[in-house]
Amino acid sequence: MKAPGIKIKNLMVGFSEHLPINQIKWELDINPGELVGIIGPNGSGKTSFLRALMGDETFLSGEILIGGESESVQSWSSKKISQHFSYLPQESFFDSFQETEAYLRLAFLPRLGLLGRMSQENSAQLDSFARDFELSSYLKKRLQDLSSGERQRVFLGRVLLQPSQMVLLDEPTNHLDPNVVEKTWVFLKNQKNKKTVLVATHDLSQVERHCDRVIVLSGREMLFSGTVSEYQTREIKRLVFPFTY
Amino acid sequence: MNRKTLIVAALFLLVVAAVPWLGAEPISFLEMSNPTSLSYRIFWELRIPRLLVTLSLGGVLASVGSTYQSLFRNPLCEPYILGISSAVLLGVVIAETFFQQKVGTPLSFLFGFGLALMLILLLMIFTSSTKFSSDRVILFGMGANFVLSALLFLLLSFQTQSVGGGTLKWFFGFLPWVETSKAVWFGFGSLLFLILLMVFSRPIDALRLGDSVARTLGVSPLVSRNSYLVFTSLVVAITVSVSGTIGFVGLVVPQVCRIIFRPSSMRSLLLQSFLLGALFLSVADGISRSIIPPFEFPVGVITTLLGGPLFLITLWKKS
Amino acid sequence: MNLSKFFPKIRVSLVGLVFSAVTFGWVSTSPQLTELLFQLDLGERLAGTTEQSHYPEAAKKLRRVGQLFDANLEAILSCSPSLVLWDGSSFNPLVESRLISLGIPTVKISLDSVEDLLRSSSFLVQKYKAGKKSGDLIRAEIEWDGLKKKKRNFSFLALAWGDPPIVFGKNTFLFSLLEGLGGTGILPKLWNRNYLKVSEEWMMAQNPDQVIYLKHDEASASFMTKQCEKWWPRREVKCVGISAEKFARASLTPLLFLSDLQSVLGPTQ
Repeated sequence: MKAPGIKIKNLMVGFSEHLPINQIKWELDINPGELVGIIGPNGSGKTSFLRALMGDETFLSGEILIGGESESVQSWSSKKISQHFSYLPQESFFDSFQETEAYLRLAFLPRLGLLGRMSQENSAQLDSFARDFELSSYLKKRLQDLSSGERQRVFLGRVLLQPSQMVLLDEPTNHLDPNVVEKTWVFLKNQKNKKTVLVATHDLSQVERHCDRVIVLSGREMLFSGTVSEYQTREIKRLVFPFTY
Repeated sequence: MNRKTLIVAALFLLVVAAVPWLGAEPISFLEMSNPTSLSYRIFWELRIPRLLVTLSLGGVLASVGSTYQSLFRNPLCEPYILGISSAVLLGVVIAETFFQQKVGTPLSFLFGFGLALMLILLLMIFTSSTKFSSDRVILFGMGANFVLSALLFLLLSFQTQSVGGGTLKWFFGFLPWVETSKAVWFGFGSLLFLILLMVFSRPIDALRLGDSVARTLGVSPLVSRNSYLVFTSLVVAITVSVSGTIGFVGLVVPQVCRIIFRPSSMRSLLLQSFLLGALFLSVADGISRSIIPPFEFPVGVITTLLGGPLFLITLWKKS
Repeated sequence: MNLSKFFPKIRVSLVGLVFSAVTFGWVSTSPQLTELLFQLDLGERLAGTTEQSHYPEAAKKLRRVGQLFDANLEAILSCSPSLVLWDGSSFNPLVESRLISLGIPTVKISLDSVEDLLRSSSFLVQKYKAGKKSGDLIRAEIEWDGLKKKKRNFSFLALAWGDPPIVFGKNTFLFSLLEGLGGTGILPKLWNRNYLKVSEEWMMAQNPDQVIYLKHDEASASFMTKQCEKWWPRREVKCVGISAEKFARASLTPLLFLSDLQSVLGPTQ
C-alpha cells in the first residue's frame, strides 16, 4: 500500500477548548510519502494541529482527506484511525515496571491474537526493527531503568513500529543527544515513500536538511506552507524570524 | 514458569491450606474424621465458606485496583476512589438511623446497594460528556467521597451509643459467615468477573498510553473507559455491601505485582493481582482471627496495618 | 479417631493441647439477658454468655462467647447451643442469619421497657418452664401492678450523662420505669432515639420537677447538682441520683430496688 497524502480544506483548529483566535481556515496539501516539518515557537499550535489531523478533539470544522478516502478524518472510527495513524505525544505515559519489549509490543495491539500473542511475522518485525533502531540491548530492561534519552527512543520506536502509514511525531527528539538526533532524522528520511511522516519540532537545521515540506506556525496562525526550497528564500525567513534576519 | 511465580504459588497454597485452621475456636485435626464433631462442623460449615469468600473478595478488590491504576495512570487509585463505598456505607447508616435496620438485614442491603446504584447513574451521566477526562473522573470520585462522608458523619453523630455487631465495626471490613452454597456462588462470580476483565483487557493497555495514542491503537477512549468504570463500580458496590470497606488490598497489591512480576500486559497483571489479592486478604483474615480469640479484629484494620508499610516499601523501590 | 469421646474436656488443636469444656445448652448474648434468665430460674440451662456477665455469682462461671454485646459465632457454636438468645442491644443480623442456616434456634427478647421485660419473662417462663413463675418474677409483677395504681405526678428529665447532656429517650428501660411510677418524661419533640444529646439551651428552657441521673461517685453527684443550679438558677429542681452500678444490671433488679427509688423520689403525693 502506498503511503497516503493529505488534503486539508477549510480546517479550523481549536486550541485548548477555545475557538481559534483567527477565523482563518487552513488549506494545504501534503504529498504522499513526504517528510514534513512543522516548526514554530511554543504555544503556536503545533500539538493542536497534529491532533486535529487525527480527528481528535482539537478538530473543529473542515475536511481532512487522507489518501484516497472520501470521508473526512473526524468521522472515522477508532479502528480506522488505528489502521492509518500512529502518534507520538510530547510527553509519553509509561508504566515504570514494564519491560521495553512489552512496551514495543503495544505497537501491534490492534493485531494481537485471541490469547494476546503476536504473530510470527510481527515478532520478526519487532526483532529486526529493534536491531535497526539500536534497541536490542534494552529489550529486557524495565522502562524506569533506562535514561530519559533511551526511553524517548523506545517511545519513538513504538510509533515507528506500528504498521500505519501516517506517522505524527510531536517533538520526537526531545531529551536526545545531538548525534542520536542526527541518526533519528536520517532514519525518518529513510521512511520516505513508505510512510508519510509529520514532525513537529524546534530543530530548524534538521528540518531544512531532511524534510520535503515545511509548515510554519506562529501565534496560532499558519504563516507558511510549502516546500523546503521555497522556505529557504530570505523573504520567508524574515517573515518567520524577524529578529534574526 | 519462573522461580518467582513458583514461590508465590507455593505460598498461596500454603496460606490456603493453613488459614482455615485459625480462628476463635481451636479445632482439632484428630476430630476431623467424625462428621458430627465440633471441629468438623466449624471447619466445613464456617471456615471453608469463609475462605472462599475471602479469596474471592481479595481477588476482586485487587483486580479492580489494578484496573483503576492503569485506566487513570495513577498509582494512588484504588477501588473506592469513585465514592461507591461511601455510598453503600451511607445507605446502611440511613437504614440503621431511620429504620432501625442493623447491618445484615435485607433492607439494609437494599439501601446500601441502592444508593451505590444512584451514584453509578450519576457517574454515567457525567462521563458521557466528551469533556470528561481521566482526571475529571477522579475529581468526581473525590467530590462524591467528601459529600457522602460528610453526610455519613452527620448521621453517625446522632448515635451516642455503640452496640455490638454495630455498623461502625462493619465500616472497617467484616468478612461474612455464609453457607457453603452461597460461598461457592460468590467464588464463581468473582472468577467470572476476572475472566471477563481479562478477556476485554486490551483496551486498558492502550488507554494507559494516553487517550490520543489509544485512538491510534484502535481504542475509543470514552466508550471503553466508561464501560470499565460502570462494570467495576457495580462489582465494588456488591463487595462493599457484602463486607464493608476493606482498605489497601486494591491499592497495594497491584503495585507489589508490578514490582515482583513485571507483567507485560494488563491481562497478566489482572491475573497476578487477583491471586496475590486473594492471598493477602486470606493472610489478613487469619491474623484477625488469631491474635486474641475469640475477639475478631475487623479485617480492614489488619489489611491497613499490613498494607501501609508494604505501600511505603513499594514507594521506596520505585524511586 | 474420636478422642472427644474419652476426653470430653480436652480438645487437641494444631498448636498444642487446649483444655476447654465442651458444653451444651443455651447461649445468652448480653449480661442483662443472663441475669434475667437466672432470676427466672432458667439459669441452669445456660452454657455460655458474653463478657461482663457478673451477676449472679453462677454467671461468672459460664463460658464466655465474646465481648459485651458482640458474640462470636464460632464461640457460640462451641457451646453446642440448643437456643441462642438476643436482646435489642446485642442483636446481630449477620450472625443470626448464619445461625438460622445452620439450623440453630434463636429468640429475640425485648428488654426496652418494663412492660416488655415482664412480657418477655412471661413468654420465656411459659415456653420453657411450663408456666411456673419464679419468686422474683411474681414479686416484680405484683410490685409493678401496685406502682401503676399509686399515681404520683411529677415531670422528670432522665439524664444518662451530664456534660454534654444526654437524655434517656422513650424506648429505654429507665424512662418506662419512671413513667410507670407516674412521672411525665420531658423529651424534645420529634426525636425518636434512645439516647438524645441535647443542647444546654434546651435544658434551660424545660421545667422538670425532678432530674434523675446516673450517679457514678460522689464527684459526679456534686457535678450534677452544680449543673442543675446552672440550668435552673431560680427554681428548685430536685436532683436524684441512681447508683449507676445498680442500674447497669437492668433486668428485674431495678424493680427490686424500687424501694430505694421510691424513697429517693419522695412519698406519694
